Amino acid sequence: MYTLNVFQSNFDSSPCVNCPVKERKSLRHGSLFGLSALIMGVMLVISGCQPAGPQTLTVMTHDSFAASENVIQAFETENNVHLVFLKSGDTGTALNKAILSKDKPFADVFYGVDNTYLSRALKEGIFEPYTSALLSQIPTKLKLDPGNNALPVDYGDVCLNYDKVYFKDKSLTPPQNLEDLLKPEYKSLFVVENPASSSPGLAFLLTTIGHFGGDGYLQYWKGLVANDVKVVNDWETAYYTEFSGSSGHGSRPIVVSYSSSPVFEVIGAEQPPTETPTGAIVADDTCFRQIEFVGILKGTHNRDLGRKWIDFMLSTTFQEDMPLQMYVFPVNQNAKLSDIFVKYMVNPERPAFVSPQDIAANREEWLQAWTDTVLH
Amino acid sequence: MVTGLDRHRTPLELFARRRVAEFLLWAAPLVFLGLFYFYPLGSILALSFARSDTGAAQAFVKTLASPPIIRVVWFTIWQAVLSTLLTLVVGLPGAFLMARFTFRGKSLFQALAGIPFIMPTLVVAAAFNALLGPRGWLNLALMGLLNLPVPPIQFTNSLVAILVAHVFYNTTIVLRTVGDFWSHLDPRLEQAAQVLGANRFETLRRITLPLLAPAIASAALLVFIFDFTSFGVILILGGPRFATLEVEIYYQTVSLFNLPVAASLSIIQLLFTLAMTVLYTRLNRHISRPLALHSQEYTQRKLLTWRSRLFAGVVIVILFTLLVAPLAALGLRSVTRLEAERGQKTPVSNGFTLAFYRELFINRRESISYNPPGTSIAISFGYAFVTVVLALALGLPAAWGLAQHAESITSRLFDPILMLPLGTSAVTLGLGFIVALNKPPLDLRASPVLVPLAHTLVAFPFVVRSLTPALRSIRPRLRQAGAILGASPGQIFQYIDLPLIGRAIIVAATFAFAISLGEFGATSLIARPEFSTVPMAIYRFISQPGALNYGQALALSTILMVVCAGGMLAIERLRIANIGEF
Amino acid sequence: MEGLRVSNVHKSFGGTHALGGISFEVAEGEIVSVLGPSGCGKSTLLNVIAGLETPDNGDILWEGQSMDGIPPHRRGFGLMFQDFALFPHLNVFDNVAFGLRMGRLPPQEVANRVEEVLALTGLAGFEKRDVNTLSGGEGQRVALARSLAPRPRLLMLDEPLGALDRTLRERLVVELKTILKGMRQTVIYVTHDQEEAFTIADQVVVMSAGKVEQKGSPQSIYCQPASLFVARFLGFQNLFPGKVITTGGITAIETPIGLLRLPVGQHGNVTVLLRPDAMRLDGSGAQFLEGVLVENTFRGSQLRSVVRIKDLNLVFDFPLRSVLPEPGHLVRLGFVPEEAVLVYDNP
Repeated sequence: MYTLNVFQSNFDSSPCVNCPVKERKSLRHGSLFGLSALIMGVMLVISGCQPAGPQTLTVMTHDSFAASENVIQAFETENNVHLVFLKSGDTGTALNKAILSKDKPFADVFYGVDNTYLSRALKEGIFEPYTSALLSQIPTKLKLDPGNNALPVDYGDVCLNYDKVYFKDKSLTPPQNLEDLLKPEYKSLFVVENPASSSPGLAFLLTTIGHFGGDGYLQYWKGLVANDVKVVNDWETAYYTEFSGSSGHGSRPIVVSYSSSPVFEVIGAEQPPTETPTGAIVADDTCFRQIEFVGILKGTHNRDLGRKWIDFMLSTTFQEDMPLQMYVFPVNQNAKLSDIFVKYMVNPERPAFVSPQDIAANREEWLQAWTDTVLH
Repeated sequence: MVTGLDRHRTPLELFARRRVAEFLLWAAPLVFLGLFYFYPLGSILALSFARSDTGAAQAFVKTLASPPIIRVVWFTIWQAVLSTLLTLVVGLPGAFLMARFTFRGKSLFQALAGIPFIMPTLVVAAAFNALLGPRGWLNLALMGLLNLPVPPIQFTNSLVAILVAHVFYNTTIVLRTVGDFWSHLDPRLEQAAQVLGANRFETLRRITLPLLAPAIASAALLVFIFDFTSFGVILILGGPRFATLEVEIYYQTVSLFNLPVAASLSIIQLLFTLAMTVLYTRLNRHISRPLALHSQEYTQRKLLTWRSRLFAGVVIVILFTLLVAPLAALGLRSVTRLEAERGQKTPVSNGFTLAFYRELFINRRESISYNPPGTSIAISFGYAFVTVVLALALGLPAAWGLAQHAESITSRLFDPILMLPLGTSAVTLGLGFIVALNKPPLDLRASPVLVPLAHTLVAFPFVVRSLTPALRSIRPRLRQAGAILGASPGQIFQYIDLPLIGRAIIVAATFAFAISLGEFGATSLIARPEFSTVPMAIYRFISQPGALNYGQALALSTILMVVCAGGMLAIERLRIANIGEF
Repeated sequence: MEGLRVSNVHKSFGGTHALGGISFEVAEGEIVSVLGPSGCGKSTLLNVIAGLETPDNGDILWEGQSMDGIPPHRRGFGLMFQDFALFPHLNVFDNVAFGLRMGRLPPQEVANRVEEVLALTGLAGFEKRDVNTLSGGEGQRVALARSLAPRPRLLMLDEPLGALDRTLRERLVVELKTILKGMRQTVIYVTHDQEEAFTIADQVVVMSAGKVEQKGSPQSIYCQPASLFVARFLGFQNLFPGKVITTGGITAIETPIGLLRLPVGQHGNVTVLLRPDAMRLDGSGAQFLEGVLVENTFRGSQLRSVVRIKDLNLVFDFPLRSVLPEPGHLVRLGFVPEEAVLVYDNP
């Protein structure tokens, strides 16, 4: 079969003049095609399907959005609405998508802008204002947009985490503040993320800017470099590979992570210990507060429902659900934290602060200066 | 080829018919590319340049001329070249083994070697960490043996890590593409050379490699493009000191929202891909030649001599160490609970545990984002299945057009165009979808259909590249013989070409499957919680702190590895109407 | 002088015995043809001699020295493959020059030798041609030229004319013999076609199922096929059963066509071959058979007649100018048993 001997001159067949030309794709190929078209069709139907009764509210979020089923269902049932969540990448990517589609938005509400991106969102005008009644339950210092185009929903604090066991073993006092990290006893113990590629990394950079000022922070970083700080690109590498206090069992006992991270080291442990194995350093001016905002997208056709959803996000039901789902904390003062947080959590009272406008104006310059100082 | 049906047509009509027939071959792939690639890409580029203060041209030139960007471009090029060369060096002996010998466990080994291709970068980083990290096996062993205070091997944040990871990911491309092609080469050609006085090395140099050149070039092109557009590996394993074009594009787009610069960089990346592909097609015209293709039963033999056994042993050990060991380390970590006292030099393993696997099936926090592993796997497989079908449906006619009419203007034009999606920034394209696909009936921005479409964009050029060398190698005489016997072009394709390239189709299908599972090119696309795939679920776990989260990430990754290996083995064993027998 | 000696070579693949103890010699300058049906192990034998396969047992010797352990590229043998195995990426010149270049000859010598060999095989002017565009005959010549060019001490040809049509074949085999004899080349010529083998060879080795059935000159094999297999393979048709009986000290064979008086060594049931060319029409002969002429066929240089004797149709060849009766008439054939009859033990 594999090689035809074309030199045999005894062909007996004559070309068939009236035979029908076969389809290029045989029936078999056609049915494969059909099957995949069917699958695609089913997916299209499921995705676009509007149940006969309820309306649909589309919420665009970043990838880390999560909520309890019963909480979501409560909202859906109460308002006779079907919620669709569109996960659109990390914070920056999701925001970019919202901005680029602002003339023809494909969602009703956008959740997930944080204070480092707030100015960009406001400048591009993707939101329309909504003054929710629940705003009164939120502390003023979290309401970074006086126009209420973007409403705060949650916050998380980026703080230094340290490995308690390591410091105990070495009989070393853990660092208490930013300046401590320059001391010789903490040489080669610190791992930090690249602010250009990592959100906590950026937060820590802003901490140093907030604390030392736009003129002094570079000097501080020079000191850190001299003290052999390790820089990695992403949080996962820093936390799960380099940090000694977590599953990667790395070699560095100080890492930039979240104030809630020590708590999550304990959740799911077989026997809850007396204290968390890692700790967060929450002294004044050593943490940075990341606040996340929600807003109604300009051009939506579901304004009322969008408003109801925002109210719901600010209500205690949703707010109390957030910590265990999204590892962030409620802005609503009336929301109660679950026991595990009450037991283990330490909160910074005065995180470092840089205004969203300053961030927008100077971001590129700061990042460039940092890169030049630390990486070259 | 004049068939009986053509007897009654004028030469002009024949010419026109042939051109139309050829164009029809390209119709589906071109429409697909037009709608889902050129249109979105054009839209985002136009929009990006519209946002610049100066014109598009000026923005582009300014970006191109800036020294940091020049450094980035240079680094992108040379790390890709180096990675490709290393991958060839590692992969070619393996390809030889796969091509010329049969041995027990061969399919399994081939499937295992393919798993790295689909693993998300974060998981690969975790795998290498388990093996080579500060507390990985190797460092622990060395520290224990040599009594060192600090881990001696510094793997991450290094060029070595980038290169090793690239080889880790892409060796399977060489193994399969070159290996499959090699397996059909007539061993008599090498025997003839030997009898004429060529020793093994000369035979390799003068006969084998020149004949393999089309397949090697094809594999090298693909590997190069993947390495050139590498993102996760550079970011996570390379660390802050290294930046490729793709990383820079991400930074400019997401962090700085500097769209004109990002667009300029995307164009640069695209131009490079185009240049490489044009180079390749030029080269290929010189090195492709019709060969007598033989079945594997004919060309392969068992490992009988001690020399062949030694060779096989060495190759398998090396490939195993490089490709399988990190994944095995990962799997092992997923069933070990290492709650040791930290600060100790050696972990006190608390032993075997399936806790992480059990946890996967529990929606402890009743999150709406939760999917049981079975559902995630089913969804991933669903996307993969659609991708395979689409990629083959688009890729086969395109490959056939390329092989049949290799010299025609249409082919020379379309060949490089096909490859462009592979070399396009996923970040940029993702935004392109948002900007372009916003009017019904194409308002797919919120649709899960976008995911397999994006996968297909990457998979179908892959399919074309895998199939074209095989199709080109079919001697025209065979097709002519078929035509004389009365077969229409379609029948020739079905009864002559298809069985001869059956294995190449299987290889291509396996790649499309793997690309979809590994979510190449769809990283910044929308997907809904109910349609969330396995890599997305893994990411969900690994991006949050806590031993339980980390363990679940490892466990789900291990499940993904096993399932993927099974899928690949199943495809290998597929026998559709004699396809795969050859 | 002894050139090649194949000494009791065995080779099996998996469970199958491809070669089961092959022995023969090829003197220098001699052309030996290995003749046998497909699947009898001829190609395996060539592979073993060339060094592409290692024998399980036995040895290959050249001028008395064992080739054991010497890799193919150092044996100095030439092998022309059945399907030519021309290097598709090299043109005619480079294909032919390949062996010479491996021998590290200076380029001028290479060019000279290539030209010489191309002229010899009638391919002058083909140097730059793409081997993939050659016709069957041209490809065969290039393959031959390629294997001849390095002046191998032993040239092996594996069914070299298999892909060609009859007239071309018949012409080429004679040309080949002229070329090879002119070069005093030692040759092993493998084929399944006995006419080719008989035309070209000094010595013929008949092979079947991995064993040597008979060795000898073409004439001796044709006149005295040593076994039933050889007889059948050579195309002899007048084979019928017989029984050896002894009466009164005289042995004879009882056959369906009558009693044949011939002293033989065998006993019991045998198979008898009656040579088609051993019958006489002129009345001479020691014994006679009578039968009815069924048909005469003109076959170029001979007349072939089918004669029905008792119940068997037997085939006989007669010279062109013989006088034969018309079909349907009686014919009387004479023969000398020692010349005409061959007796074989039943297998």
